[in-house]
Order: sequence, then C-alpha cells, then structure tokens
Amino acid sequence: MLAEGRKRYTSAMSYILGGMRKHPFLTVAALLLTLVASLMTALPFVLIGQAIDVLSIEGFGTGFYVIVFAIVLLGLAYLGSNFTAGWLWAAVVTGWERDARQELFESLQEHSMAFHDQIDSKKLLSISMQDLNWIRMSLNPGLRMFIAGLLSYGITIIILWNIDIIIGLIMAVGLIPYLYFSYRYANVVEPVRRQRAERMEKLTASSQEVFRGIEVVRAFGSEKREKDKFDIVSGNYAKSVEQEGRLSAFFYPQLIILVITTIAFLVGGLQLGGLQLSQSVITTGGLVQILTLLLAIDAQNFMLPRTLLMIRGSLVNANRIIDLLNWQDPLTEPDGKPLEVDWSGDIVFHNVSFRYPSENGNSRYVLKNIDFRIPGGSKVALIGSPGGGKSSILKLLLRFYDPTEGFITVGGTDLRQIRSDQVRKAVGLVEQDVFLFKMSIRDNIAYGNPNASQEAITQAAIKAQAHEFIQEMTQGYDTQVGERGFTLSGGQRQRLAIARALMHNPHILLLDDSTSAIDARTEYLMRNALAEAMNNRTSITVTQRLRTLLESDIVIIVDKGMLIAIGSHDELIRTSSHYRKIFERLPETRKLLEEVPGQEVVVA
Amino acid sequence: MSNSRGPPSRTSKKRSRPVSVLLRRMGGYFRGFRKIVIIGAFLAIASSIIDAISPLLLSSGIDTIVELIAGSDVLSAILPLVLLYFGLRLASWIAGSFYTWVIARAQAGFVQSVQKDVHAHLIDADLSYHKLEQSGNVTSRVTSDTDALSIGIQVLMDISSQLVLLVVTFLVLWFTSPIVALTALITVPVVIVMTVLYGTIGQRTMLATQRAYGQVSGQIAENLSGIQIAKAFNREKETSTQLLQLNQEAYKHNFRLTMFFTFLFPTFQATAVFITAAVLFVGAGLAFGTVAVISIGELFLGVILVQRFMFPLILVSLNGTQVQASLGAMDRISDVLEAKRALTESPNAVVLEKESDGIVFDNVTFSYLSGSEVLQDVSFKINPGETVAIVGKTGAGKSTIASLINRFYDPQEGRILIGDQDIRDITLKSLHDAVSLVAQEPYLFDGTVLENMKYGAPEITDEEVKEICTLTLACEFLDTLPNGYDSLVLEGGKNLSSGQRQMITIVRTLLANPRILILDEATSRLDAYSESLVQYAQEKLFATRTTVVIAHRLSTIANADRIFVFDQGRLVETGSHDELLKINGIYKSLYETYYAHQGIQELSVDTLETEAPIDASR
Repeated sequence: MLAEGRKRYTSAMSYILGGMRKHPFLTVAALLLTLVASLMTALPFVLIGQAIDVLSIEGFGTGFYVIVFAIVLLGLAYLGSNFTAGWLWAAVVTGWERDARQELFESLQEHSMAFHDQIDSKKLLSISMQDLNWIRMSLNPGLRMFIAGLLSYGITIIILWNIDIIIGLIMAVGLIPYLYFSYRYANVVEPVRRQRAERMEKLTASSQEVFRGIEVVRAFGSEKREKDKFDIVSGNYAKSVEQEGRLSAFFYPQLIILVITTIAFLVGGLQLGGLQLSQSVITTGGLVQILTLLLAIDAQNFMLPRTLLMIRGSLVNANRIIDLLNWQDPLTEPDGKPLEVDWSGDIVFHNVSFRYPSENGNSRYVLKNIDFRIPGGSKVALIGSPGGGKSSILKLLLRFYDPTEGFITVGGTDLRQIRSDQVRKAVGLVEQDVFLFKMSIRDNIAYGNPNASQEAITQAAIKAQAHEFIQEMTQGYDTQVGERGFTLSGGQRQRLAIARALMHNPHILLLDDSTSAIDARTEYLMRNALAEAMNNRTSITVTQRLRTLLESDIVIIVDKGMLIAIGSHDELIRTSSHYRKIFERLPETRKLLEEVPGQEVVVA
Repeated sequence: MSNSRGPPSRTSKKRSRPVSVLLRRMGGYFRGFRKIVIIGAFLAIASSIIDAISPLLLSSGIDTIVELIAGSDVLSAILPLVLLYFGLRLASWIAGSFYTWVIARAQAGFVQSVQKDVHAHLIDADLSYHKLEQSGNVTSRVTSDTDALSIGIQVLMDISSQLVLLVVTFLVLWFTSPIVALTALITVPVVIVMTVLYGTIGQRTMLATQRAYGQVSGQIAENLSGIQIAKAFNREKETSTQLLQLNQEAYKHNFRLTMFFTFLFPTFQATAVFITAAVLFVGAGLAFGTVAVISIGELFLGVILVQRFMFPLILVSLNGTQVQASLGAMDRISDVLEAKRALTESPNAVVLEKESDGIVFDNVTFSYLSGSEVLQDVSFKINPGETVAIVGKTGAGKSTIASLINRFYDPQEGRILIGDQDIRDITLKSLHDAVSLVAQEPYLFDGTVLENMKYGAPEITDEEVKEICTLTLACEFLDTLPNGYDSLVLEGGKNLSSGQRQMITIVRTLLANPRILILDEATSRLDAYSESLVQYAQEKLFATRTTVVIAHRLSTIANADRIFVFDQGRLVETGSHDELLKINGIYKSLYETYYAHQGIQELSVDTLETEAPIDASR
C-alpha cells in the first residue's frame, strides 16, 4: 500500500506545473531553447530587410549572397533549436502525464470502498484518461506555443524599437489590451466548450445505456419515448456546438494587431518618405522589416486563442483531479506494527450499526444494533431478504468499511486496530457476482498469490471442483477469460472464485453464494466445493441452498438491517417463524416442518 | 496536432460505397441549411480572396514611397493605401468571422440530424443486430462517427476556402513575376514528401499510440470495476505495477508521436525560411539585375506571398486523412441507415383489441441461424387467465418462446396469436403495452430507483407507485437503500445486490400493468423469502391474468395451472405437476435432475451420472 506520504495538492496551477518543478533544469533549458527558436523565426525577416538595403547600395553582389546564406543558416538553426526544445518539452510533459496518471490511479485504488460505491467508474476512467490528456496538451503544445508566441512578440518589440521607437512603443502598448482581450475571449469561450464536451459525454452515456438495454426498451414499447429523450439530449448538444461556433467566431483581439500593423505601415511609410516623426531613420529595408515582422505576428495570432483556451480549460480539469486525489477517506489505518491477531477466535459483533457514507451524510442505516457471537471454526449460514444487510455484514468483516456505531472483534481484537491489508490476508471472499479478470484461468486462480506454483493452483482447482472443466478446455489453464466467444457458466465462474479463495487460504472465508437454477450434477459438485472450502476455518455463507442451512452450525437471519434470529437449524425450526417460512414453500420441505413437534404447518 | 482527435481510422475495413454516394448523402443532411451554406461559402471565399490580395497594397505602398519625388506630400500619397489596406483587412476579418458564425448553425444542425437519424434507426434495428454488435460499437455510430463526420465537413469547407486562397495567391504571384511564382512551386515537392511521411509514419505512430492508450484505458477500466476483488486479495501493488508497464509503453509511443510532430511542423516552418531565401535570391536578381524586371515592393510581395502560398498547401494535403476518416464514418453510418429490417410493423397493423387475451402458438418453427431450429413445429394454447410454467433443459428453447411472444423475432413458419389476432398484424406499441416480460438478466437504467420502476408506466404518479409497493410488500428492500426510492442506480446497479436489481425489474413490470405477464427465470437471484413476496404480489395483482413462467424453481412450477415440457425445441409433455410425474417421462427425469435437489435431500456421487431418469424409489 502506498498510502503514506501521498502529497496533497493545494492549487490547480501547482498540480499542472508539477512535472516542470520536478525537472527544473530541463525546464529552464527548454525555455531557453524556445527563446532561441523564437529568435531564429524573427531574425530572417530582419535579414530580408537588410538584404534589400544592401541591394540598394551594393547591388546584386557578395554582401547580398552572404545575407541569403545567413538566412538559410538561420533556418537550419531554427530547425535544430526548435527540435531540441520540442524534445525537452516532450520529455518533461509527456513524462509528467505518465506519472500523473499512475499517481491518480494508485490514489483511486487506495480509496476505500466508501469512495468506489458512490462514484461511477466511467467518470473516474474518463478523468484519468481524458482530463489528463487535456492537461498534457495544454502544456505541450499549448503552453509551449503560448510562451513561444509571447517571446516572438517581445522579440519583435525589441527589434522594432531599434528601427523606430514610435512603432516599438505602439506595439509594446498594444500588448496589454491584446493579452487582456485574448484572456477575456478565452474566458467566454472555454465554459461553452466544456459544456459541449460534457453534453457529448452525456449523449454517449445515454445512448450506450439504451442500446445495452434495448430489449427492455422493446419490451415496454418505449422506442418513441427513447427517441424523444435522445432528441432533447442531441438538441442540447447541437445548441452547444452552435453556441461555441458563434462565440468563438469573432476573435476580436486580432483587430489590435491589425491596428498596430496599419499604424506601423503609416508611420514607417511616412518616415521613409522623409517625414521626420522621430529621431530614427527608416530605410526601405527597415520598412520591409517592420511589415514582414508584423505580418508574421499576425499569422501567429490565430494560435493564441487556442492555446489560451487550452490552458484555461486545463485548470478546470486539474481541479477535478485534485478533488479525487485529496478525497478524505473515512477509513483510517492504524499506525504501528501489524498486530498479533487470533484469527481462529470468535467473531463478535458488538452492537454494530452501519450506514454507507454518502455525500449528504443522511443515508439510512443498513445495519441496526447487530449483536452476535460466532465461535471460531463455525460454519455459519447467513440468510435474509435482499438489502437486508447480508452483504454489508460481509463487507464490514473485510474491513471495506468500519461500523458507524459499535465495533467488531475477531479473537478479541477490534478490526479497526488492524490494518486493512492484514485483515484481507486473513479474510477471504467468494463474491456474489463473480468478477474474473481478463487474464488466463491460471492467473485468475492465483490472483491472491501471483507466485504460486502450478501444483498449488491445480490442487486448488481440484478442491473447488474446477479442475475437470478447465482441463476440458483446449488451452486448459492458459485459457483467457473474457475473450470473444468464450463464456463461462455461472457455476463455473463460481467454482473458479472458490479456487481463487482457496489459494488465498484465509482463516475466515466469506461466501456470497447466490446461484440457483443449476442441475443436480453441478449442484453436487458445488456442494463438494463448498464443503472443501469451509473445511478447517470459520466460514460465513450467504446462501439460498436449503441443504446448506441444515449442514451449518449456526444460521443467522437478518432482515431490514436487524438481527432476526440466530441459532442452529434445529433450534430455529422450532423457534423462528421467519425460518419456518422458508421451508413452507416446497412440498418436500413441508414434510420437514411436519416432523417438528407441536407446530402448525401453514400452507402457503 | 494531437492524437486525441477523431476516431482511429479503421484501415482493416474498406469502404464499400463510392465517394460520390457518400458525399451526396452528406449533402442531403445539409438540406434546410442550403442558404446558410451558400452564404457561408460566399463569405469564406471573399475572406480568402481579400487575404490574398491585401499584401498588394503594402507592396504598392513601398513602391510609392521609394519612387516618391523628393519634397512631394508623402502623407497624401500613402494615406489612401494605408486606409484601403486597413479596410480590406477589416473586411476580411469580418467576412471570416461571419463565416464561422453562420456556419456554426449549419454544422450543429447537420450533426443533430445525422445523430437523430442514426439513433432512430438503431433503436428500431432488429434485435439480432444488437445481439451481434457490442453496445460500445453501436454507440460510436451515434457519437464518434457523427463527430468525425462533422469534423470532416468542417475540414472540407476549410479546404475549399484554402484552395481559393492558394489559387488566388498563386495568380497574384504570377502576375507579379512568373519566375517568382515558379520559384514558389519548389514548396510542392517538400509538401508532398511531408504529406507522405504524415500518411505513413505519422499515421502508424498515431495508431500505435492510440492502441497503447487504449490498453491503459482498458486496464484502468477493468481494475476499477474489479476494485473490490483487488482489495479483498491485497492486489493493489501488482495492479499498480501492471499499469505502470502499460503506462510506460503509452508514454513511449506518445513521446514518439510528439517528436514526429515536433519534426513535421518545424520542418514546414524551416522550409518556409528556405523558400523565402530562394525567392529573395531570385527576386533580387530580377529587381537589381542589369534590367530591373520587378520593383522592390514586388520583391517584398514575393517574399510575403510565398509563405502565404505554402500554408494552405500544407493544410489541404494534411487534412486529406481527416476527410478519409469522415468518409469512412459516413460509410459506417450508411450501413446502419440502409440496413433492411427483417421485422417491421405491417402497414395496416391494427391495435390489439382489449378483449384479446390468451396465447396461441400455431405450428411455430423458429431458428436464429438458418439450419439450426430452436423451436420445431410448436403448437399450444394458453387460456386467458391461466398460469403456465415452461420447463426444459438449457437450450430447449424456453427463452425463445418469451422473445417470440414479444415479437422480438418473427417465426419462420407458423403464427402466434393473442386472442385471435396474429401478432404480426398488431402494432408493436399495443402489443408491448399488453405483454410484459421480466427478462433473466435484470437491466436497469441510470437514474433513481423510482424512475426505473416507472419505466414501463411513465404516467403513473409517485404516490401510486408507493401504494402498489405497500400493498404487495415487494418494495420492502427499499427501506435499507441509502435514499429509499430516490437512491441512484449507478452503472446498471453496481451499488445494488443482484436480488435488489431483480426486485426492481419485477416491480417495474407489475407497475406496467400488462394483460399478459411473461417471467423468464425472473426470480433466479432472489432468496426464498423474497421470492415468496414476489409470488404474493403476483397473486394479489395478477391472479386472473395470463402468465407464462419460465421456471427454474420447484416452487414456481408447483404453483402453475399447467406445465409445458420442452425438449430440443419441441413441446413434448403438458399437464399438471402430479399428472406429469405419473406419466413417468421427460418431466419426471427433469424434475429429478433439476428441481428435486433444490430441497434438502442429500446428493450422492450417483448424481454425476444423471442424464437418464433416476430411479424414483431413491
């Protein structure tokens, strides 16, 4: 676990610039080279002007050749410096993207289930991929272009200042409103652009959902309704597209450059024509320099709004990421060394109440005052209606959560005193909807101990009654789970999950066993697998299997978050009406009830 | 300038339609925006032309001043030129901006009408289509393909205005000096080489990067959905390491891609410098040679225009890929639009009569793929108000019966009646209003629990929902959800247990209040107690309605009026539980293999040999 020392971010800017702060030398070198490259773009225009002056004086001769040659050299120098600058930028920024993604994922992974139960994983995925991608692009090419643009502008001011102070001054003064209006423009357009992206996300999500559930749509004859719904979503999106187009159409800061160019044209022309406006003397070449440089700035102008948009947008993306990174986990790990815990001891719920953490903090209790003791080594069956609290009990035992009130002890130690990874080493789970990873069957079984030998894996599979069907597959243990055209039946998945749990070899085994509708053969295999799994450890099984109830040491019934009854089958069938109800449904099991003395059989 | 734009070009699949057909179809979606498009095109062309000729004023300004006779009024000589320059540039800016402003509407409308069209076709497409395609692929027809299309349209418009700019610029150059104009053509081979590089190495690198990013994304997605297991098995470190490898791989590709662009664009830029030097050299020879062919102003013009000439050329050639991609998208969209539906509502379909009830299968034969019949010559009659259980081994055709009654498919032979109306002559809407199916897999939509419950009956009020819930006890489980009825369903219900999901789908159907109820293993994920609640609700609300139950549990079969036994697509036995047991046929063996053990009897090794009926005495 990497929880320790994970840093907290205070501002979006510091997050975004994290990569540059990590590599200060590379960053400085990249900036310097960007400056050089910008110089190399501006200087050819200066030389063109000089060439014209040289031509006017010397004519078509050596002096001119040298200048043309120098322009070619500048082109090469530009190529070299810009490529190196690009390499440095890429190294810093692309590397940052990789590290940031890794950091974000690890942080998400560490967040307890309180986090994951509340947040749509599609959103997390899109933040880890898209948002980070956007930030990266806002740095390179975004920020890079922005800086290069500013540098070019600055260099042009200096050059023009030297040619003619008035034009230089106009340009310097023009920079302020130019930047100001560019920023304002970005400020107006960016939210619309974001809205457009969000609406696209929504459109994607809603249509995917409908196509996935197309059968339900059909069955309820709600095609028309879905089409109407989509029309609204798609109409909203179209509105955003239009709005973005319209808002971004008039990039008015460009007019400032246009005005500067026009004034420079006028002033330069007048000076050249002999009308003395300032101390400087403008040659023909000088005027050419002024005009070519300004036209170059004008051409670069179209990049600026885009880069500003990107940079401004990335601040929002960064804030979304920071919110995830800085999430305050209600589950805190104890300090200090791992404790000695007697895992084969009694499991005791001390008046446990629990509600899932939620944003508004007023979710309902899913467990209320649960108080029971399970002696170590017992086979426990846990039953109750859906939402009754069965899986919550299992989740608490895995320390996915801590109880809201009360506490749980194992062998006398409070679970909250034990680090969650230590808990999960000792407590194993076979979950309800078996989740298998897209890897080989072998790797899935060895999920809890990746270094396990083939021998051990086969043993686990045999015990879980899975070996047989695995061997029947053409690629045996190397068969990839989840590939096209290859599906495992529910029973097979569950037996793989049991094998996985057996490899884990926990002291306490939690089984959420809710498959039904299997034939007797599979049922027989399953019962053997379960019996094997429960051997020599404390086990808690959520089950619908009546046979399992009979074979358990203890049956626990929970309903609506409350403990209804606890005891052995023989006790409960006599004392609990809830328990008896289960056996009333089937003709065969009704006989069982009849055997119990002194009870009326209620026929449903 | 990045890899994230547009969908991956699918080189593996060739376009199946000629370009002209695809372009015509794209054009079709602009109907209704014709005026806008024409105005837009006019504005764009105007802006391009002005852009191309405005430098003329600068050059003639230079010439005017250079040739000015000393002492004459310089201000009055150049002021008109300066003002005209300003005016033209302003006009170009306004025209260009208005173009974007105007066209935004057409573009938005275009995207919307394509989306609407594709979405509607997909909603109505045969179920077999949806079964074959992954939902993600289907969705991308509506989203990324229409997006690629609209980008393509924009690129096409941009290309046209850039072409105008290119041609006019070249003409201006030509009239200035044919030799300078020809010198400018040196750019062409450079641009061609770069375009080829972009089309080969660039595209390859881009695809490799996309693939590498796809893997990172897939890994993160899988790890997030399996997070509970990763935590339960303390696998966090390994998952991190795994991701680190993929992440590193993606970094390598992305770095390469960035470097490719870092090479490509500056090379264009440097070429522009070289070409400027060349034009300067050639132009200077013309202007300052023994005979001055061109003026200094024209030399300046050549230098300026040669750069103007290059960039539209680059844009036009590089954007070819984008156009290709959007043609591909249009092709895929056309597949959807042109797909012939196997199952359609008949033009003279009538509404299902209120009195029509009961289901008749009349010699129905059906196969999903021709050659392997799932149902063979099946005939039966289910009386109005009767509850029939359908049993059979996996693959016996049980779920198919449910699908056929819902008319998800049409049988190849025979007919299906409700009352005495053939369901092929009934409007689908009225059929689905009368018949309700609870499918095996509980499927929920994003939204609140209440919204999901009301899906089949949107007009029902919240109070009515709660009333029925209280009456039937079927919603007891809601008491423990964080926000009761208003709890959000996340990702199809990851925050609910599968039993809860199934309960919601059942309540959804109860509320839809159908005349005919079809339950396809609808309670498979419920525990015995909840199942009894469902049965109670069913009895209370639907006791008198026609019900077909595809059964997996003994308790459901036991409560049916009649049982239909299917074997290999044929209806082999009918009767009540007791009657069928007495026949000592397939039902009995099914009962022994599939249902009896749901009770409490012990199973022995013998069960491993079950397939044949087991001795009843055991």
